[in-house]
Amino acid sequence: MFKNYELLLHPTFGVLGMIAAVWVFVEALSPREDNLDRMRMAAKTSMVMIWLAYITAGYFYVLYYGADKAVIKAGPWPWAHSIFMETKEHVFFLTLLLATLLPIVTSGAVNKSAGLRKLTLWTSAGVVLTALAMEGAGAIVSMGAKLGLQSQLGM
Amino acid sequence: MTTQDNNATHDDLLDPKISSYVLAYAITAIFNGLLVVLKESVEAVVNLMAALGHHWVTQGALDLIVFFGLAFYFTAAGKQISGTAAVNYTIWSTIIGGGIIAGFFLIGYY
Repeated sequence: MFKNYELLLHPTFGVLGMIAAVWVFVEALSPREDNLDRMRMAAKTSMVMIWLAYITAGYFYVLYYGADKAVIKAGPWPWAHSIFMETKEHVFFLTLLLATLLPIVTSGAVNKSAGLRKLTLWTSAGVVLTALAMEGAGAIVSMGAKLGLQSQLGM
Repeated sequence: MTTQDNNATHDDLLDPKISSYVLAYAITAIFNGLLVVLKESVEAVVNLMAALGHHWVTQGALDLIVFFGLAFYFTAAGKQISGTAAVNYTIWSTIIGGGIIAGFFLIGYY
């Protein structure tokens, strides 16, 4: 039973990390002395959420995904695993590292350095775009498992 | 309410800590992609990584060791890069690192 809840926690943490990264991006569009603390808090939130997404994903992937993988590979969408899951599980490390980089980048004087401001925008955009790709790939993997099960049941 | 600093320049050098972590990220992003190709192509490598626990967990641990190891090394060396260079390293390493992985599995499938 916990497995089902755990599976919901992973994309939930991922979405929260992505939203926090959008927040950083918006704050960095017009960085001022009085929004630096807010930007840094959002950056730390993004990092914590993406790390939680990583930990919950790892737990599920290592302990339970083997059975889903067999179903997907025997079903009508085997590429949902072979392309999308394989890519997702390895590109995710880039999301994790970008989210880890975000609080470090925003620890500087983003309001005083145009280069640092640009770096903050691109790093937060990187978290958002790679996390969106993860969410999309996750949806395809879920559909691959659903179609695989339907196929086994003759539906 | 204060406004954005008018003295901001586009090519100012970033402080060593930020520069070092950006460089460490760029190298680790490429390393991660190449490690995927290596472990998926050479059975002995994936077996070794799996023997340490699980190949994916081992890959994550290696990435983090490389990332933080390089970041500490570059910070200790006082490495500094410009904001423009940092942006370029971040964008291109993400595209190349992600592209290696997606391309490898796409080509491998077909």
